[in-house]
Amino acid sequence: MELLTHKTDAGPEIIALNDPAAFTVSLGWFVKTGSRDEKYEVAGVSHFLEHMVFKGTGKRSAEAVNRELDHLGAQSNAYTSEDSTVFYASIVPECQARAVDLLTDLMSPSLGEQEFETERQVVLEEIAMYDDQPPYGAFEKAMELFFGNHPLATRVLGTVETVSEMSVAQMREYHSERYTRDNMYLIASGKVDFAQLVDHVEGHTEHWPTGAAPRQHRAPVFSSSDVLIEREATHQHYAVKLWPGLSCNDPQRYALRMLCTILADDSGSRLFWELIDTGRAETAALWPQLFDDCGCLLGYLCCAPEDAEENLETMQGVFQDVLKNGVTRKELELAKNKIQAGLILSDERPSNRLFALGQSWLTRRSYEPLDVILERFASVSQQDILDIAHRTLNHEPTTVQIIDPES
Amino acid sequence: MARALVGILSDGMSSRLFTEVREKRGLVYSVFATCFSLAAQGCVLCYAGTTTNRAEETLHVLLETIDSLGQGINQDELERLKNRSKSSLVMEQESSAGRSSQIANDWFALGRVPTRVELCAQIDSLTCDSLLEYFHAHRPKNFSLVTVGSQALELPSGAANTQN
Repeated sequence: MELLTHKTDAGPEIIALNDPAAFTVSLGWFVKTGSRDEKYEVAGVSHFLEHMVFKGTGKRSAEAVNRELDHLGAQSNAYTSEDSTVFYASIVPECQARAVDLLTDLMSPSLGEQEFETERQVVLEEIAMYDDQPPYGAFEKAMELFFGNHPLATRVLGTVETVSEMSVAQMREYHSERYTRDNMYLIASGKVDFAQLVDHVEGHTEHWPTGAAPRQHRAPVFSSSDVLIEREATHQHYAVKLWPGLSCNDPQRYALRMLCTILADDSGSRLFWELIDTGRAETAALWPQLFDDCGCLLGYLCCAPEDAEENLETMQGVFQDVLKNGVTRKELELAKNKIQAGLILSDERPSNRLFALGQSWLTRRSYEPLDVILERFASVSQQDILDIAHRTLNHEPTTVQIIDPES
Repeated sequence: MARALVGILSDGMSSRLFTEVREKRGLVYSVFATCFSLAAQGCVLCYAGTTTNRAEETLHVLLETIDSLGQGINQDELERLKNRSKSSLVMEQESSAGRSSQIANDWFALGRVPTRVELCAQIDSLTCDSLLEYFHAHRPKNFSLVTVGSQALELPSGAANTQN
């Protein structure tokens, strides 16, 4: 596998991880923009715009876009997070040129009034769908409380209010400021024809705007609080906890991932044996959210309301124990094997490599091959895990719980 | 045949359900149809999630769209379905987990593992006429309708098995 990069003044940066033996190509536009780059009154615009990108361009109607994607046999989709918006497609190599033309054209959507109104309904339906699915709502509330007035407090989907009131003019303004060739990367993996890719991208992006305001980076002032959301007809008890975490460039992130695996992986972890194997809870989880300047550690418990208090104490006990005694050598070895096997299997697919490459390029403008990552996990020590536990779990978390007022 | 018809309804963003229910009318975020197959029997499940006051319209469009298969399958949509099916056969082969579950499924359902060449030939042999004929011979009927929400929906007359 070979990493190929290309950047001139005439176009956006193009990065490919070429594997001539692959059967497919995965490629996508990675835009360095997300909910953290939104003004408060247009919360959710990044995600709504992600939907609108498929609703037609100067050259193609919305129906033509969908038909062409299907005609290429593409497995394609898009997603929006706090810090990125990504549009991607996996295709057989013969379809590379047409897929690049299409995806690149999509980056200049028409944003027509009528399509905007129809799609607004779809986004509101999406919010309504998640509203029916706790713990959605608890995570969002916890992020808001934890990050306070930091941009990372903004909800990715926005709210019913912001989405209902957003105008197409506001979306156009956001698009022209954020979808510039300096703020976007064309990432590819699999069997890539790189010369053709460069040709196509440069030919189709000459007219794109340049610039883009730099992202607001400032240190968050984390605050801890305890909130109860009462929600009728909720059968389970949902608890979400947030502790200070790490940025995605922090060298301790490998140790943090190992800590989460040892404490809360969905099989064989300490919380698994305490709460899941014993049938006391449905889910007990712990995982890091890494952003480019900071991050948080999330904990989650879902169980029957009558067991919640005891289970939360058990979780707390597991965290206290690791802060005091660390982890054993055996746990360290098992976690290492589990994480490494997962990474190796995931790396089989060009589409998975695409996200790994794209995410690391967006945040670091560099890429570490799989063997380097495996080596970093291999070198984590018991002391490293104790250190990272203290840096995260030793703080007072923000807690948000959803319960039925009747229970 | 049944899977191909469900594919015309639900496979891809240009499929009929996605186009009619979501893209044109904005009634849902999620809508799909899928096959459940056992050795001796099978069924097709169709799902749409919407807000309460738009549920009736959504059901109406859903049934209308299913019924639209009876008016014919066009060449272009069948071509897209074939491309998607063949391309996903390649993508399934790209991971160990994907390959093993594919082999296990084939072994369980067929007692053998067909090659990709064989599967592609089967896909290529589908025609608009043969699909339409199959649809008319197996017209969806006796729907079971399940509503989860605050207001029960009712099927138009002629349908059965309503549960709320």
